[in-house]
Amino acid sequence: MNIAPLPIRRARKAASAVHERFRIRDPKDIDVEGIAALLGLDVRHGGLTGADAVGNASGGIIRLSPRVTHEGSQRFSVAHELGHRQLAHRTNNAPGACKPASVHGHIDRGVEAEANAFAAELLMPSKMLRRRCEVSPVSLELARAIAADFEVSLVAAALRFVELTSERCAAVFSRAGRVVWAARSDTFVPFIERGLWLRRSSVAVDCFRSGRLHDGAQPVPADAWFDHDADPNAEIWEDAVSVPSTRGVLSLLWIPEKCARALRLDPE
Amino acid sequence: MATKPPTLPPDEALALRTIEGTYGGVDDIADDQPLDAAALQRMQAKIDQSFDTAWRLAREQAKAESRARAQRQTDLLAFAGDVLRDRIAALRVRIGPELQLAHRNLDDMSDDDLRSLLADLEEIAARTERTA
Repeated sequence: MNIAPLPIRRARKAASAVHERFRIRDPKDIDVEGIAALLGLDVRHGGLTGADAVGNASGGIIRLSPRVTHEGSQRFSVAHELGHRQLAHRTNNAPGACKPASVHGHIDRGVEAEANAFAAELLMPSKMLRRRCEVSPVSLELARAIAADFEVSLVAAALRFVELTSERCAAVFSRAGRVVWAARSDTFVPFIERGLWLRRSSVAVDCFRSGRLHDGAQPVPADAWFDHDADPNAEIWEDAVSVPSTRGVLSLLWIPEKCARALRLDPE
Repeated sequence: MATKPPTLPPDEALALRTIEGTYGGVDDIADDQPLDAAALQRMQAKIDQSFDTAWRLAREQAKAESRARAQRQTDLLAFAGDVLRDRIAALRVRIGPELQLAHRNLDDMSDDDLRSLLADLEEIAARTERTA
């Protein structure tokens, strides 16, 4: 199993410390604006193209762009800015406000990734979710339930599911027929490259072509998503949904145990 | 006779006062009666519940105060461009070097963004001076 880099683990630990400090033990207690206020940060809306915080030891202000309209995305933005603050990121070197793409997408490293790790742990604590992520078969249904229970966006919930599950899963976001980012679970071996053109046999392509919203998980040829030299008939599962606000498609890929054997993904 | 608790940090003291208000204080405890395991468990559960309630109230109160501060916006519509930039620069000096500020390229910012930033900095400066 992969171990997350130290800065990411540090960010998650900082979020857990906030839970402990403010005695947060239930999803309904994750009132991110209230938490921010207790930490001396006021949340204001409007006046920016992204999300940003200014302040000093006396307190500060988190300002959210009016473009971020989804309540779950607003909560994530606030938690992300809290992350910068709690992790003592020196924002003087930053070029400007945090861009929506770096806050609401998937990035691997740097202070934005650390702030995202903080936000994900703050809003969807592993101690409340990990057991729930041990499900099979895998589809976007659980991500939808997480999004509803923890008041986050579907994309944030899917990313968190992939982070916590032991199933072989990947969340892939694509736009204009190409992969924008892919986040893999620890056990999902194949690599899905950014910029990859979607293949015709993927469900994501169908979503782009037909504008279809959601039809549940379905089997697709494994080579719809990655190259392999095993059984050409090997299939994996894909559940895909259009995300109209971003003009993109979110796919959740799952390789069941039997498929993993057919694809010879596990070491002998 | 039960002993008085040691000095607590303000947030813990608030939680303790909430518990005492609901269930009584240390002087209300009859310490000559031994408690069985079930009673202890019930008591622990009540204490946990009271702490949870106290923190929930604290979050709601802090949020309400934060929102009330948001209503006190200054009117900066009369200012534009370099006037806004000059006032921001002056406030940065007034607040001091510990200010965390992501926006560096003030020249690239619209007047609306500058007004938001100036309003935020004015508030932070006022808070800094209150706590100094």
